[in-house]
Amino acid sequence: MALKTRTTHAPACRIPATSVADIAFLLVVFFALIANEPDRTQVVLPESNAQVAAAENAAIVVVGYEGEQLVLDEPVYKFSDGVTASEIVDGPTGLRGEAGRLLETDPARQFRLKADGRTPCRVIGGVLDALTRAGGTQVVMATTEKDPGGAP
Amino acid sequence: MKIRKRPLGRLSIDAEMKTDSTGDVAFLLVIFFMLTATFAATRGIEFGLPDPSPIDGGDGRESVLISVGPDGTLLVDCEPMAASEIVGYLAPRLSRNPNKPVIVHPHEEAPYSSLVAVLDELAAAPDRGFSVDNVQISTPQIVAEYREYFGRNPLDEHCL
Repeated sequence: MALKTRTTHAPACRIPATSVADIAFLLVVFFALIANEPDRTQVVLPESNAQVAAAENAAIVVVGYEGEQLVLDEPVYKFSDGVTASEIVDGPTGLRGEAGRLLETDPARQFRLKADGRTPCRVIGGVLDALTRAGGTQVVMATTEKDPGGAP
Repeated sequence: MKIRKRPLGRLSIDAEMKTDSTGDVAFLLVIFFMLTATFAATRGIEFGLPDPSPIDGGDGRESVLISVGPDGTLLVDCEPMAASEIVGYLAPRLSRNPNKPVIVHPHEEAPYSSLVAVLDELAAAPDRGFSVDNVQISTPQIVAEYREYFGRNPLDEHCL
């Protein structure tokens, strides 16, 4: 006697993935847009409640630390005109030179100071002096917004 | 015997494009951008740099002096004070004269975050109905000019 075998049918359990790709592409576009920042130095910014927006074309001055060993008196100084990628400069003297060159063409150019919150004020004072002597008038000290629910 | 003929012209062609791999590639790109992205720090506290011209007098007596210690502790006109109390202290002194200088004198070793905390409190003054229009930070250059002009640093001797 011939036995009837049951033919197996693959269940139709395919998950439509078209919308997943759409969402992923939106995320790609988002991250690609925010990746347009001229300076990518990782800096632990201080916190503040005040959050004034810097000018879009503001030049960027970076005082940060690289590597695992943190030597507070030996930060890395970087400068960007706000368009091109930031480059390491030779301390406050180098900052003054770069800022001076920029201010020759645009005397009202604003500066965005992106400095590590642990930096000694002596170092920050040197940066402010360099910008003042270069002819700078306005600085926005970059901060992260203070958490309203956090510690005072 | 009947032979079943396949009907001609009724072949169904699956016209759907496979997009599963597109999602995979897109997610790989998402992960790449997430790892390399740096959020732009474009907001903060605005500060007007001083005029680079030499100082023209005044020894700090007619101003408010906020000293920031190496550990971030504050002395406002030689009185220990919390950062949150600064605006209340300044309100009666600056409501009539917003141009009265407020000199922030951080210790060389004080962390930058403590200087920002003071400037943040000063920026909150308009919420209390007055403004602080003349904030100065004693940078090394300014201290050197004070020393050259006065033969000493009056900011260090203010509380003696």
